[in-house]
Order: sequence, then structure tokens, then C-alpha cells
Amino acid sequence: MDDSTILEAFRQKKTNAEEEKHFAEVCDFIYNKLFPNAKALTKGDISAAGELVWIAIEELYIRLQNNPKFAPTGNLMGYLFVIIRNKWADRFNKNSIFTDHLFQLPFNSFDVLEEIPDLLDLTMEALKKVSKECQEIIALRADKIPYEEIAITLNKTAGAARVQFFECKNKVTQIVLKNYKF
Amino acid sequence: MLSDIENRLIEDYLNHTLSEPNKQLFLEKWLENGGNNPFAKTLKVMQTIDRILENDPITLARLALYQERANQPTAPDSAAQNQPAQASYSTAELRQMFAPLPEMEQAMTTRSATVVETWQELIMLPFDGINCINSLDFAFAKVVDYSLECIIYNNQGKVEAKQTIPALQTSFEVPLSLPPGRYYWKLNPTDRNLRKQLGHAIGMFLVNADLMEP
Repeated sequence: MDDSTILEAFRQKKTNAEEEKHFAEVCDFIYNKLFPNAKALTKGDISAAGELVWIAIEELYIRLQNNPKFAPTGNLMGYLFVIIRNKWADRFNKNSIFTDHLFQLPFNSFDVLEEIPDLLDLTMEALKKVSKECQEIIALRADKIPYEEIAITLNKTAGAARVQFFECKNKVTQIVLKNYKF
Repeated sequence: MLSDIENRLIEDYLNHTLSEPNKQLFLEKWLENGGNNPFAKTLKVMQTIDRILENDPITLARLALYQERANQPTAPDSAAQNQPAQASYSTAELRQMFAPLPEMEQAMTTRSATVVETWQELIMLPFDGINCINSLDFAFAKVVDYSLECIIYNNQGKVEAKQTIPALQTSFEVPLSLPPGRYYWKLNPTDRNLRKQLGHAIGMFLVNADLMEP
């Protein structure tokens, strides 16, 4: 798989199951290329290595969604590994950057999906336990419907729809966390 | 179970309303015990649930791959389908196979102090000590506009493989079919004058590192 194929998959908005599957395959390809390097970097810490690779994948995704023309000057895997190396080197840095809207936390190796493989199922079960309106608003946001449109559907203001969405997400999260002990 | 203060810190963080003193407290809690603590774990779980509910494509891809991997009999890192048939090795044999080659190790530790530093820095992958299965992947920081030669040595200094890489590449793959052990790669320009000027880059990799003694 060449760099341009990967970049194209990251630029694309995923609108159907086939595109999601292709994207997962591209992520898998990147993961398999970078994981052995990350494992060597972390001296065999598999959880940290996996987490680092996903962080790099996510950074590339955000970068390309914000700027579809972006392409690294050198090799893409090399570019991703620089992200991995920097995150790893920065993991104990207490001088993280706080800005008004973004707080870049130092790297944490806890791999949530490795630790709780059934998190998707637990979340879906919790979703069934919240109100119908919460389920509806979460489903609409999952489909990337803007708050303005949700507001019309639910006969609210956009601001109220936004607040309710966050409250509903929080309810689901609390139901999942209630049954889970670290 | 998190304390009320910890719950409030997480809530404020997620709402971007952490006060200056609380930012430091938050960070200390996040880093406690090297990040292995209930506070950091809870926040990461919360963020992951958020992403699931928002249909985040990365989280969905990750979930799909974890599920696929869980259904496979072996983990990808230990899968060695294309490896030569594994003989059983004694501890003494394995020790010998993974023993470092002093001159190569010396070359690796001193390389940054030599004139080849720039050339070495151009090579972003592989990372030293990588465990390979059936290929060794190289990645460069920019297009290399001259052809290269890649030589693979075993830990006795014997050449195991040679490959010429054409000019204008940013990456290349060396297929491997090697028994377990410690190996070294050396990259240098094929052009003699350039080789004199730039020297060579060197690195180490392992094959079937799982067999190595802890």
C-alpha cells in the first residue's frame, strides 16, 4: 500500500460500511508496519506501543481532515514514527500545553480497548438504559447532524440541543463506569 | 472509585473549565504512578465512550481490528507464517544467535559522533532493536536521490543478504528469510565518491526475538 492510497483513505469522509472497512484495512496496514518499531522503542511494552501507533494514526487523521492537501515531505511511515517518538519522549513532561480549548496531555499507555474489549457492547447496553430522547440525540450526532438541525427536530434551541447531547453522553458513560472497577 | 474532587477535575477538564491551580493538580493526578492510576484510566475510558457514541472513524477502525485480532488464533507479532521451518534450539545456541557483535555495536554507539550523522538521521525507520518477521522496512525523511546498497550481516559479521535500492526512493523493503537471531543492516551509497563523503548508516534488528532469553 503506497503513501498516496493511505492519505486518500484518511481524507475521505466515511459514509458507508464499505468505506469504513477500507479505512480499517488501511489502519491495520499502518499498525502492522509501525507496531514492531514502537515495541522496540518502548522496550517491549506492548500496551504502550499499540497506544502510540493509534495516537499517530489519529493525529494524521485529524491533520488530513483539517487540511486535505497535507502530505509529509518524506515517507509517511517515517512521519508517523516521528509522532510516536515525540509522544514517547514527552510522556513524563509536566509542562504540557494548556490553551483555552485544548489541553495536550502527556502520553498514557493505558490501552482502553485492550483492557475492556467489550466496551462497545457495554456502551450500547448503557445507551438502551437512557431516555428515548437521549438515544435520539446521540444517534443524530453520530450521523454528524448539526445541532441546528437537531434543534429543529427536537423543538429546542441549538444551544439546548448541544447541552443535552453532552448530558446524555455523560449519562451513558456513568452507567458504563458504574459497573467497571480499575 | 474516584473522589468527588477527582470527578470534578475530570468534568472541568472535559468542559475546558479547569482553573490554573487545578490544571497542575489535574496533571499530577494524570501522571501519578507513571500514568497507571484509576484517575487517568477513568478519563481515558470516558473519552473512548465519547468517541464510540460520536462514531469516531479511528475508534471504530480500532474496535474492528481488535475484534478481528481477538478472533485470530495468534497475535500478529508472534505470527511467523513466512519464516523458515523452526528447528528447536538449545539455550546455548540461542544465546549465541542473539549475542551482540562487538564491532557493530561499537559502530552503532559511536555513529552519532562521526561525519555520517546526517546520513544516519535521514533514516527514520527501522528503529534499532526491532523484531522482524519476514521483512525489514526502511523509511527516509526525504527522497534519496542516489542509489543505495543495503547489506544484512549476522552476529558473526557474515553477509546474509545484499540489495540495491534505486535512487529517488523514500522507502524500501528488504524481504527476510533468516533464522532467529541478532542481525545488523548497513546502508551506503553505491557511488564510491558519495560513500567516501557520506559514509554508511548502521542499525540492529532481531528475528524471532521471542526466543531470546529475558
